[in-house]
Amino acid sequence: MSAEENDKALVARARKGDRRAFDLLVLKYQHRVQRLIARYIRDPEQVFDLAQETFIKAYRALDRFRGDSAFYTWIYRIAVNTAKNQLASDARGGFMVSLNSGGSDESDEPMMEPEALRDGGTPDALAATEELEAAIDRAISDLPEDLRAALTLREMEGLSYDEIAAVMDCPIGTVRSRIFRAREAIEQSIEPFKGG
Amino acid sequence: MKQRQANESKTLRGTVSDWWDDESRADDQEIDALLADVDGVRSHTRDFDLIGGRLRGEPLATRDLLDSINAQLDEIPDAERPCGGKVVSLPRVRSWQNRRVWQGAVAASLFAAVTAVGLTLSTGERAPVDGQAPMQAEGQTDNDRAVMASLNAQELPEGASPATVAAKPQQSRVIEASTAPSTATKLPDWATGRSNSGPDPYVVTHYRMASPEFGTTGPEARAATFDRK
Repeated sequence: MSAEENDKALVARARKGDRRAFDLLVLKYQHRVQRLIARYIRDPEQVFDLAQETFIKAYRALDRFRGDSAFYTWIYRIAVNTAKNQLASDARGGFMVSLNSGGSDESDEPMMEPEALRDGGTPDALAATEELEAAIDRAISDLPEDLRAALTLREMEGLSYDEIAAVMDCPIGTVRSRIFRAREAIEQSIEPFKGG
Repeated sequence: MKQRQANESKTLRGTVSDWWDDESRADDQEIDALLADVDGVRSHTRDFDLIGGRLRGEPLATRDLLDSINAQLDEIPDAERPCGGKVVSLPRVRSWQNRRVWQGAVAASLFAAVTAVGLTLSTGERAPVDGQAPMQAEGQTDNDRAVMASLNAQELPEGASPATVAAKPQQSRVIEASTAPSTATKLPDWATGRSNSGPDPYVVTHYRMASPEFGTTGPEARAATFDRK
């Protein structure tokens, strides 16, 4: 079952009233949706609100999701439209935002680097974030070379497991295992630094 | 026990890791496994997002919105939910009760219909009169009799109202219907084809005068028709 089929299976279950299935879709895509919206909207609080709105709209429209496209394509389109509507609304309300500051209005070009989510927060929160970042960096650097390479190819280069297997000249099962073990090791390392 | 939990967690983490990377081989059973431990999936996905974001140099401050999204979804009326009431299954007892309600309603309707028909028959029954339509069998009203009297061309006695005359027994006059064409209106011979003398010259002349083309270009034609007369 491919990723798309997986998502469609979850959509089908959500349509039948299984809210946990929709929970999984939220868990999988919420961070990506937030980052996508952050390319259009500068205010972090607004980004979170719009991300929520995106999922609420998607949930209400689940019956209209025909499955012609992948679920992530569909939800990304909703997110971009929601962000653009917000920009237009802000512009009408006197909060001037140039719609042409990045790409044309019709394109999905991001308007800004996604720095919006670098929420300042309180000094304590900032310190905790920096601590967590440092812990992740340490955990990554402590990984065995083959695990780090596999994880890096996946996360930084966005390669599929097949492509990583070709690059690293190993079976796809090995790639799968290396990435999983790398994540497991990092998770265990950062556990003490994770707050609520 | 702890070992078993650790193994289960490890299995779930592996499943989530593949699923997170869109490399899942998940069949329905594995989806069921994910659905069975949404909190576990939530914890792992949060960590995986942190790790990936850090490797890519992205900001870490994305939020877990699941609780707030669910809080808003809880406020959506049932009618607006995607399932739209399609999966609402009433308890057996409830549906059985509903069926009984329907059966009772149908029985009551049938009873009411039968009663209405019976009452109509018992109160409206009349001995039919041979050769008369049901309305005729109802009997004549005073007005009917007055109308009949006038049709029979009877002279009303002085000072008597039509109703008074109608009250007297009358013999109705039968007017036979005829299929023969009426000869009251006589058509001219030229119109019925009995004449060979052609159309009426007056009509032809005035038709041509009314028509500009003929009126202006054919005065000799008019003369010709007059000649025919």
